[in-house]
Amino acid sequence: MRSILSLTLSFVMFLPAWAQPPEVVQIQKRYEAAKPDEKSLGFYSLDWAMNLKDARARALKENRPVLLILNTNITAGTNFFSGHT
Amino acid sequence: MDHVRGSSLAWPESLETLRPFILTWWSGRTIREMPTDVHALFDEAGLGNRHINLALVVLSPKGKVLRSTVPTINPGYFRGNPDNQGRDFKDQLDELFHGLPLPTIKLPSHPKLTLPDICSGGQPAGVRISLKFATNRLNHFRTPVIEAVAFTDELVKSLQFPSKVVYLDAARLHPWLEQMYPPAIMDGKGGFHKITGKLRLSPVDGKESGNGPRFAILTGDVQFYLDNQSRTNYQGSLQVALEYRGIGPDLFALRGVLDAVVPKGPERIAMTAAIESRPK
Repeated sequence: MRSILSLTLSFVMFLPAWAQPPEVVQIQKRYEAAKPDEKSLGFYSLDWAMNLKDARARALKENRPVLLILNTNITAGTNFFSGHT
Repeated sequence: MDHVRGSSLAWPESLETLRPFILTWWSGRTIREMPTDVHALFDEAGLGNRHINLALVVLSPKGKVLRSTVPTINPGYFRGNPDNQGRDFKDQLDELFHGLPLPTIKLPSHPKLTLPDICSGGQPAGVRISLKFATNRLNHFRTPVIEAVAFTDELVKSLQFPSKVVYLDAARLHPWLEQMYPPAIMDGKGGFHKITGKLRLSPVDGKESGNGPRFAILTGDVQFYLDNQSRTNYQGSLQVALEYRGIGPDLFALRGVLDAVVPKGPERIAMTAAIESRPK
């Protein structure tokens, strides 16, 4: 169990857990718990292009349709991709 | 309507229905802000006289508008049931795409995730902030909010390695902290009236600090005051671990967490932010 934990944390801050101060390890563990799990990120597994121009260029090259999502929100800055809508 | 991303679109069958498409988006306060190329498609789709919070436009591989719709939601029918939300949106997608020749796209066993990120170079170039929320009455938050924020000169300077304990005004982290709110809560001008707090940045005396990386810890409570009609305010608790390499004072990497409970009407929405430097 200890070795699994050390391996996991070594990906986070580039040092094995034993080489890090306990305060840092504790925050890293909280960070790992706070990260979204893969299951909740299905939205980001779709094939996104970052703008219409790129989407059109790829669609032509790959012979695929494009779905353009338009979203407005007059009461706040909004970004459908990031989720602050 | 614009919370569809976090509710109906989180339905796995809706995601599979969208798999054949290359997806892209445009978001803004009003359609008047649309760039010319997007506005041309908006007009071509016949949406010009409609108010939209959300519209879907299907383009052929050659860029012609094939279909469009302004999806509807029906909270009465949903009865707070996320399955009903998902099924209803899936039905609307099926209707929109009915009869279109769509390619079959097989999802790999480990699909690549396209997450918001910082495109500029450098380490760190910025941070990625992932916001998770506890379940709420309208099921808005099943897809996390993910924002990428570039480092500014002020952020870099504020987070230099401290030789002793120093205190930072929370306003110095404003580019990060202004991302810490749930979707569908702004009902005014958007943004924050103010963000306040005093944060403690302290060096960590680790046993490797003589030769290896050095660490510091940033902690403190932050008060958030939304610039909305409800004058929503809440407190967040921030904890960040910072890593420094070499002999200079500049930050190399960080990981952190902010916890808050955000009031929204009768609800109290638990929010957790995971903060990570990018690209490493």
